[in-house]
Amino acid sequence: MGIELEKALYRYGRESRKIVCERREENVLKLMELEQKRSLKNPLADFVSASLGMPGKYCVVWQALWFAVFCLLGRSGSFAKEEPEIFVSVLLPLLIVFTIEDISRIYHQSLLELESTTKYPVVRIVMFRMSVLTFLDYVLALAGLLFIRPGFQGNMEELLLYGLTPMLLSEAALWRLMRYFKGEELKAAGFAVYGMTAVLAVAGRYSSWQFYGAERLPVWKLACLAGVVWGIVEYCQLGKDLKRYGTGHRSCHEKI
Amino acid sequence: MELVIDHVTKKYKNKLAVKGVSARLTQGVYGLLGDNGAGKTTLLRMICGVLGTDGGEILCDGENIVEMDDRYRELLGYLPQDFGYYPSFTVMEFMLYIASLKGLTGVYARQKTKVLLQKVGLEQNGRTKVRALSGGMRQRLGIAQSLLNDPKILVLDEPTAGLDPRERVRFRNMIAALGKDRIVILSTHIVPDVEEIADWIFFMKDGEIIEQGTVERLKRVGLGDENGSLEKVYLHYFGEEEPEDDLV
Repeated sequence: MGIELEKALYRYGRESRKIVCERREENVLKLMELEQKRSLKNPLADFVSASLGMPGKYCVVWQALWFAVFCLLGRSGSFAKEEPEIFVSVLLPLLIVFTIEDISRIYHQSLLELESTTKYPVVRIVMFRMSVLTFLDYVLALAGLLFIRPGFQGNMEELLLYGLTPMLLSEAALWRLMRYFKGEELKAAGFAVYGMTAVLAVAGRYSSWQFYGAERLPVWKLACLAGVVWGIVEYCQLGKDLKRYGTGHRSCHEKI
Repeated sequence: MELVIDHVTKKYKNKLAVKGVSARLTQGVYGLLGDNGAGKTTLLRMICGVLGTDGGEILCDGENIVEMDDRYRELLGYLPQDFGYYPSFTVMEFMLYIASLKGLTGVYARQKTKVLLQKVGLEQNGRTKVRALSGGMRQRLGIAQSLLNDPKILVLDEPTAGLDPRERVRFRNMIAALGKDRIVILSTHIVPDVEEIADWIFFMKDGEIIEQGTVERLKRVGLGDENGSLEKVYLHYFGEEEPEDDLV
């Protein structure tokens, strides 16, 4: 009680010295008025909006551009007609590189600290955001593959395997790399992974390895499965790390 | 509203960063003063729930903040020592993003953002990329985002770092006004920042609170004279650096 009284008296004394600016009351009143307008109408919509947190404008532009170029080249480009396997293997992982910056927002460490003190649990926010953005990537990729399907000699299964396998593997590799790099470094790592994927795709066609062809389909299926499993493992690991975040097992400047 | 810090301890490997700190906070401005590495940031991060405690507990109106979970976070405004940002965000986008995370949407979020940007003197910089802001401007943006949800508990870690003298005065005025109806905890090692606005000051050293009180009380206890400066009291508790020979 003594401390409370002393504190209150001190505050009273300080107020009387008028050290605060003249506009402060006006400002505080304005904020209080605004507070009354605060609406809590749609918690689900609010959560979705918070999770997606305005995907970068450039991410959407790049996605749209990618889709347009993919469809255009896939239908009318001579390379896509002659080498459709390489075409899909090289172009689909590019989509991941364009969106990695937005997907990897979670790895801006000190912002994670801010995010974890807001209304929603950081693990729910981050996992939802990552799932939606990744899902959109695959919807675009599938739409692109369906669009160029009529010009492809093989069956749909082959087209899906040649396109999605490198994309899945690149994605899982990048999710892994997100543990070690962030920001611009991560972008560079993304391009490096993409470069390696593209080189492999081309080498698989023109070297003695011969990745493509009906006899190699079981290997492609295995690789595709490996990509899915690896991706799920990385995704779950991220969820685990985020759950532990804030419980004292680690600080944000450690592993995440 | 009452925030009770009850024998809180935090350990990093073999080092105790915070050693059984206890305090009872009600409405008002609290200054946490101490040298670098005193454990101020660790304590603030535990108060915000970013870090868990290794011992003791933090209670908000009698309820453990871990159990309160999102109900506690809704009461909280936090400015980390070094806050990050997404490189592609503009000032407005950053504020709206944090607003959405705090459950504010639509016209309300935009209006609140505008008022707060005006309050911190960034109303002309809404379209500027965050990465293009100066250190002081970025700090002001950090202060603005911490106020978005009208927090009942405002935790500011080194809020005046990088601010020029005029901005610091503006910041002090703002905090003094805000402290009237909420708990404001600010940590710093710049003594004048808290001298004028803090109702209660904690001196923190090696993870422990070594002294606390109003400015007058600290002056009385530390110097035996209420007319001395708080800086002198600080030096009394934390020791004066001996000037090195080659610098004299």
